[in-house]
Amino acid sequence: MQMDPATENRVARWLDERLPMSGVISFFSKKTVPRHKHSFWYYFGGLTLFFFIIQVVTGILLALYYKPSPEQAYESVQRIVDEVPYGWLVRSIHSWTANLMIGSLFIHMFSAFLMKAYRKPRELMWISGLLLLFLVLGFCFTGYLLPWDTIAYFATLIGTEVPRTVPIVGDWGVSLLKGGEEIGAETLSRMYAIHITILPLITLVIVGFHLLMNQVFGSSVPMGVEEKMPPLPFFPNFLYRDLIAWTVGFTCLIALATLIPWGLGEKADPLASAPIGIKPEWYFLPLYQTLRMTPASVFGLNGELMVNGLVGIASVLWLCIPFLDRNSSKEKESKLFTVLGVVLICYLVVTIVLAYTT
Amino acid sequence: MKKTIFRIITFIIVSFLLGTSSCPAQANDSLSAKSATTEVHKTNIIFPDTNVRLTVLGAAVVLVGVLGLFLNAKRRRADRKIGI
Repeated sequence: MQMDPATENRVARWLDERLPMSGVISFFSKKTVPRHKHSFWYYFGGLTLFFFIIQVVTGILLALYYKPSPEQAYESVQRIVDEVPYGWLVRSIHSWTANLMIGSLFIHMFSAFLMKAYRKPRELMWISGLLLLFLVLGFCFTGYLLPWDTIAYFATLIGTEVPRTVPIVGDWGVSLLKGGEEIGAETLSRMYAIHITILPLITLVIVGFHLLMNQVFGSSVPMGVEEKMPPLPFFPNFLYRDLIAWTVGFTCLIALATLIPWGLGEKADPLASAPIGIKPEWYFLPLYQTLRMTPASVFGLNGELMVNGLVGIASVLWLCIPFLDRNSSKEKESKLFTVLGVVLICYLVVTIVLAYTT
Repeated sequence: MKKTIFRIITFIIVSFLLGTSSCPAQANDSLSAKSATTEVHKTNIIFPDTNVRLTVLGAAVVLVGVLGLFLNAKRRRADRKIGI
C-alpha cells in the first residue's frame, strides 16, 4: 500500500521539523565519486564497512549466550552451535566475516597505497585507516581465545608472550594482557572486555572520523589518471553500486559459512602440551614466518627481539608514509614508494604461502 | 563495465542456485574431504545436516539475488536520470 503524495509530504515535513535531516541529505547529494579505469577499487572500503556491521550484529547475538569463564566458555560455544536455533550459522558468519573483513581491509589499504590516495590533503584518512587495521587485528587476537579450545588457548599463550621481548615495559605489557602469569580466568575476562567494549568503542570513533574525512575530501583520483567521464553522484548512483557489491560480499560469506562451518577443537587443557604444527591465523602468518626464518641470535642480538623491533619500526614508518612520500604531495611521480608497496605485497604473500606449506 | 558487473553477479547467483539444488551428495563429499585435511581445527560439535545447510544457503542466495536485481534496476534508473 502506498501513501498518497500529500500525506507523504506532511510526514516528511513533520519529521524534518523534529529531525532536520534535509541538510545532511543535501550534503551527501553534493558528494561525487570520480570515474576512471581504477574506480573498481573504491568498492573495498564500503565492503569492509559492511563486514564490520555484520561483525557487530552477529557479535551481539553471540554475546547473548556466551559465558566468559574457563569453566563455561567452551560449553557455551558448544551450546550456541548445537542447541541455539541457527547458532551455528551466526557463529560461522562471525568467524568467516572476521577473515573476509581483514582481506577486504588489506585490499583497500594496498589499493589506496598504490593509487597514492594518502597524499595531501588526505593524510589523516590514511592514518585513521591504518589505525582501524590495527584495531581489527586486535579484535581478531582478543576474539581468538573466547571459544577456549586447545588451539585458541595455545595461540593466545604464544601471542601474549610477544610483548615480553620489548625492553623495560615488556613484562608489564604481558601481565596487563594476561592478568597474571598464566592464561586463565583473568585473561579470558580481559580479552572478552577488550573484544566487546573497549575495541568497539574506539573503532566506532575512528570509523566515524574516517567516513567524515571521506565525505569532506571525497575519493582520491590516482596521479596521472585522466577522468574522461564526469564524476558519479554518491547519492544515489554510487550508493546503489556499493550496495550491489555488498550483496556479492554477502553471497560469498553465506556460502563459506554454510559449506565450511567454523569448527571447534577439544576443550583447552592448560596442563597438556601444545599441539604439534600449531599456526596462527593467515593474517598473522607473515610475522610468524619471519620469526621462524630468523636465527635465535643475529649479530649478538636476540632474533625475536630484533624482528619485533623491526616490525614495530616498519609499522610506524607505514603510518607516516604520507609525510615521507613528499613527491606525491606535490603531485609528482614517486616510483620508489610504488616499488616499496609491491615488494611488501609480495613479501606478505610469499611468507603466508611458506608458512602454510612448510 | 556495467554489463560485466551485472553478468558476474548473475553468474554467481545462477551457479549457486544450480549448485545448491542439484548436488548435495557432492557437497557432502567435499565437506568430509575438507574435515579430513584439517587436523588441528577438527570439529568437536555437531553441525546440521548438509541438506539443511544447503537449504539455508539456497534461501539466502535467492533473497540476496532478488535484492541484488532490485538494486541493479534502481541503479539503472538513477543512472538514466543523469544520462549514463
